Amino acid sequence: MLFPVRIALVWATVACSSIVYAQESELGDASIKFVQKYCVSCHGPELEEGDRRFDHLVNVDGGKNDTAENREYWREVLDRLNLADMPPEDADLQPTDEERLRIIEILTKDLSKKREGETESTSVALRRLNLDEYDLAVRKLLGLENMLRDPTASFSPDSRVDGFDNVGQSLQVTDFLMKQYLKAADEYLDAAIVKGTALSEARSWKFRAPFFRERNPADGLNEAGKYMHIRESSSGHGFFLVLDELAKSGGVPESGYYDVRIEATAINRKHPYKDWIMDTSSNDPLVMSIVASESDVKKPRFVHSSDRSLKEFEVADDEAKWYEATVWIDRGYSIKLGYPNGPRRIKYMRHSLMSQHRESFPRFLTDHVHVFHDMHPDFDKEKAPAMVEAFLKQQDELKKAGKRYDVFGVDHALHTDEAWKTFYREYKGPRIRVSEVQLSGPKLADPVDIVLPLIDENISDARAKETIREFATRAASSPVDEETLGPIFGLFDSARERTNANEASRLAYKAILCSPSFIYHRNRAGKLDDFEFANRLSRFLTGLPADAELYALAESGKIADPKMRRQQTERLLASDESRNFVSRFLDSWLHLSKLGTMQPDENKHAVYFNERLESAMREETILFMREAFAKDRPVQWLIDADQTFVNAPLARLYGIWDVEGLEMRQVKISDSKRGGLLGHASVLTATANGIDTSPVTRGVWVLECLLGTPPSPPPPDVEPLEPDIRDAATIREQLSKHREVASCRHCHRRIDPLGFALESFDEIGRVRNEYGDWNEKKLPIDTAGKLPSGESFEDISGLRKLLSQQSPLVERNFVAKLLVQATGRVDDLADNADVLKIVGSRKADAGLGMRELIHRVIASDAFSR
Amino acid sequence: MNESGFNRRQLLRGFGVSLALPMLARDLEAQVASRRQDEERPMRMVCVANPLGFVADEFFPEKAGQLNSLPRLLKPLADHRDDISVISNLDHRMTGGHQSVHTFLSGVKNNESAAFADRNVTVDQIAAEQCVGKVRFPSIVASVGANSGELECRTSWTRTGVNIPPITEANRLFKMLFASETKKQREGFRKAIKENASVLDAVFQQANHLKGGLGKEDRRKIDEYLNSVRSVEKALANADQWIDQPKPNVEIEEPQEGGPFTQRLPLFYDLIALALQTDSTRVATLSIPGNLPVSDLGLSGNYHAFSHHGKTERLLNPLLKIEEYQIKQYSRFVGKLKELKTPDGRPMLDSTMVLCGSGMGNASSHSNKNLPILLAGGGFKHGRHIAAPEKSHLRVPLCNLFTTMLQQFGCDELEKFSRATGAMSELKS
Repeated sequence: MLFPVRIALVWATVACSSIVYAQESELGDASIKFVQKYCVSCHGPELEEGDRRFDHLVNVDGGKNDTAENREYWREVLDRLNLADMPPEDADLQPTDEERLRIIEILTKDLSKKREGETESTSVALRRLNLDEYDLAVRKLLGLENMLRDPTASFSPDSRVDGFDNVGQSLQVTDFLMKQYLKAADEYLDAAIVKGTALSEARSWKFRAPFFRERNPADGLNEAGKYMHIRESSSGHGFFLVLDELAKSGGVPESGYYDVRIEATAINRKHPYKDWIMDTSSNDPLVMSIVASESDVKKPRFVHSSDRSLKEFEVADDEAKWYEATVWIDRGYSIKLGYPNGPRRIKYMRHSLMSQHRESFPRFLTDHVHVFHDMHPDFDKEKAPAMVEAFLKQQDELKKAGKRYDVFGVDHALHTDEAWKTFYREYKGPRIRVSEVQLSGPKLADPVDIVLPLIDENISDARAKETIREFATRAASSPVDEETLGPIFGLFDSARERTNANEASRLAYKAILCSPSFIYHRNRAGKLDDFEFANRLSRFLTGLPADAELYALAESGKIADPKMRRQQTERLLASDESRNFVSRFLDSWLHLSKLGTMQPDENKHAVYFNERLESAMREETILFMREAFAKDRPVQWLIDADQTFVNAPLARLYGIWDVEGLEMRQVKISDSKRGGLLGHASVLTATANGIDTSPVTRGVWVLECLLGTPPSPPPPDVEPLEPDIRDAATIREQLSKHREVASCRHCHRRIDPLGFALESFDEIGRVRNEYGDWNEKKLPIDTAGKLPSGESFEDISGLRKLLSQQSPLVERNFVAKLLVQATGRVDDLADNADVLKIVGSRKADAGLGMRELIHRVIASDAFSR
Repeated sequence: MNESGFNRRQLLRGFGVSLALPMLARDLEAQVASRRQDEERPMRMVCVANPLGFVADEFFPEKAGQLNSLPRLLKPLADHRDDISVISNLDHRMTGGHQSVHTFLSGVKNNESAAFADRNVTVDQIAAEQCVGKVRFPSIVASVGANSGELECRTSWTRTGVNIPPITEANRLFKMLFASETKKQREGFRKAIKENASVLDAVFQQANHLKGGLGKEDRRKIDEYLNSVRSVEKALANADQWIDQPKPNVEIEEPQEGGPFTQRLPLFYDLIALALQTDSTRVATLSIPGNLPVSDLGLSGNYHAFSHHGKTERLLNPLLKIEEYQIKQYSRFVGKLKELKTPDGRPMLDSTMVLCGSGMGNASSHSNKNLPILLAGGGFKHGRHIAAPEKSHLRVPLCNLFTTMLQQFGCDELEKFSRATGAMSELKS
């Protein structure tokens, strides 16, 4: 950033607060002197180190120094003093600890004061609902919480600012979005109205093997009338067990709850093969999933975009049992069964089996594998090409002679139905045996009262309008005035000239779902009124608009009472919906939304896919935060917690061997490398690119997400280095080349050491001691580093100790991010001041719990702006 | 916002709500007919973009001039060497790596676009404006799959600084272009259009009413809303004109959802060729996603990770394979346009300019300089590697090329597109 004009001002003598400042101007002088003494020699007009100039902060000639822009720079001075990484250790002049702490105290106090005229937020009040908020709100309004169809599937994802997808300035309303609002409103309303009118009788279905017509029926395992098997994972390409009869009849006739019963057995969990070949762990139970999907899909056995997983069971070994669930199924959807943690890449698997367990597949090898194929026991690399040649020639002659031949290439014989059939007869791998599937329903949910008038054909205009008013009120979650309703009633009236009151009402509902009173959080600027407060509180902590209880409290004005606010906050935090808050907050604050956007290599990290580590990782961090809020743990816990949540696959990734089963549970951590968020695989995976780790990305993540002191982006006039890593052996050496360049050095000496410590973890968060795959040269990992403050560490556990001394910064950042999540404002000066006020420079309060911090954020002025 | 609510409502009644619709339709039809007579040989434009560029050493020929020996990445274009130009040393003087890739067709970053009258509008959208009313779809914006985050395809932008979300599934594109509708369906559409017009009218009034009590920033926000409503109204009016015009019959089946990348990329090209052939559109933009599933190309790893090759073979080789594949498909498309004939019996390629390139110059170093640019067809003079000056004070903006393309497209009055300083005369014969 450049300074447009040199602004010469007196830092602390602000006219408006001169009374309060009588004493503080002296304190202001102290900070000016400090900057003059320790900073300006490098960050002045001559050197401009790190693209920073602080000389204008000290040029006091009686003018006004206390501008918003200068305060941003003062804030940076404060950050760097807190981190103790400036002045750099090689500077001649160093402040004493006492001096440093005093200036920190002064600046913190001063920067937490709001300046007159800046209490009004510069951010927009008209912030539209983001995708999640919109979908949740419509579903709640129309009673469609369970609907499987996703009318927002074709919406563009919301853009993120500093990781947040709820920032008002960048949430645009575009013509594309407007079209999608129109279309989605129809889809939601159609679903709601059908639901209301449906009165069909419940019925039941019974399905027995064969559940569907197989292309290759006689593999010797499936038995008509008895059972069929699911042998492969349904993730990846997917091989679902589908119910042909249900799909062909168009799926279930009505949306509603259905009882599903499945008789199933897990076969061969303890199979005779090596685990790595199967890409599944024989320690884990076999999982069977019920998946719903549109019934007119052309290839239902494969994964489809309409697939929704409804329920999963851990299937018991070798014993047929009934598995039951009550699930919501949309009209026109069918169900199918999957084996999500089954073997995924069956062709690779077969190949490996032939080299590792050759003796178990005599028939397959004799009947279907040519001697010139490398699966064959007598394969000879030297002779193979000639044999291939001869084979193709022979087949060609057969073809000419009009006999049976095979000229589709040398691999073809392996992939015929016949070949697979033979293979499966000899194969003793894990599979789920399904004997019977029963389905009964629907049990209809009560239609939402607000939808009823759309069904009542004899509704009067007056009653219809009353309901429209009610609908508009509920949609806005706040009373609506006549001006807002006018155009909607106008629409109703003009539609009435052509159609009945039902149809006209429907049109009015549609307009309400696309209108500003629904799609924006609020429709006016200024301090929040009681309804707006109730909505912000609810959206913050649950993602949903105010519920009936909050609405009533807003109506009676009781929500203004701080005690009531506290009580409601506790209630919402304890609700199931608070999961929305935690998961959205983690996506934004810790950038966990990146998890899954750059997937790891399928060969190198097969477990990531087979054992579904990604969802376990995400779940770990969500449960960790929910527990932290529930127990009101201090932010320190984020750095050095000695407990976390794992299931068996995640535990194995962490090198914990005594956890069984797929349920997440809390465990104590004994590995000194783990602990706190920096040991969470979710964070470590989201900060890698799936293939390699980058100390820079992870270092920046620590500075940005944990400490809240992000480095500035590379200066614009510096051409990025062209990396040439052919000679440099490790990433550390590459970076040291990087740090030789002066313009890079300043930020990279802050970034790189943090990242080096995290090099102990690979791209999916597994501990490693050296670089290099099994087939590559091994190189040692050096995790030691030295922070700009001069402190050094050997590895991540050492860094963790140093970071835990920075908990005031972590706390300030945590509060700032909570406030962004609540208000959708970033870079707001008045908010920054409030953040400092919330955390204060208190010593006594240090270690305030994170739930208490939520309360303080909600009680702050900023929250109500 | 100068029109009063009253006038606007009259206008709206004109197309959506009351009976004035047929009048308007007749109007437009007459216009279309007269325009069609005017232009005997309409021009077409296809832009193909990837987010990670092409490895420069293997993309640009060593020397400027005739394309005699082709570098590795251009080898697949050997048969078409007389119909293509490779242009080096063009860019938008951008920095920012992935964050600037979206400037490829505009020359302007979205977050800096407020300073420009036409924001960061892209070259394809300017061309598309020429086609409104002449073809069913003024432009097609597609991407071979969706992705999000830094590698998201944000290739096409409107005059209002809005990114056009691409169509990411071939079956959706097919339906839009060719699925024929029954009479009943058409009536349904017409009804929906009317219905939507009346809904938009109501929400417009509500939003307009809010305007009074808001500050400057928020008024901008409500204008954003009002403008969106107005744009949709226009689009509905346009769609209304085409409802009764039958969609072309094509001899290809509706594609399936999904499928491997190696099937989808050629399929998208084929659909675009069909769209041009049937004159359903004259402007198409196709993006290759940054999360391209490389396993479909027999590789294991990650496109983006390969692009940070640091010159190591281990990463460079698979990257080149991915890039080679893209060029092969581009080449196949160019070949196809050569075979297709326009009504006057000439190769479609002669009247179709096909651009291929990227907003990324060197992904390994996150540089947006010296962007890889290929241009085929469009009646330009081809067969050469045009090396623009390398020296910083003599550099030619990529927008100069876009200016030339637009002038060729028929934007006669356009002198400079975006940051152009002129046109590229080298391409004119």
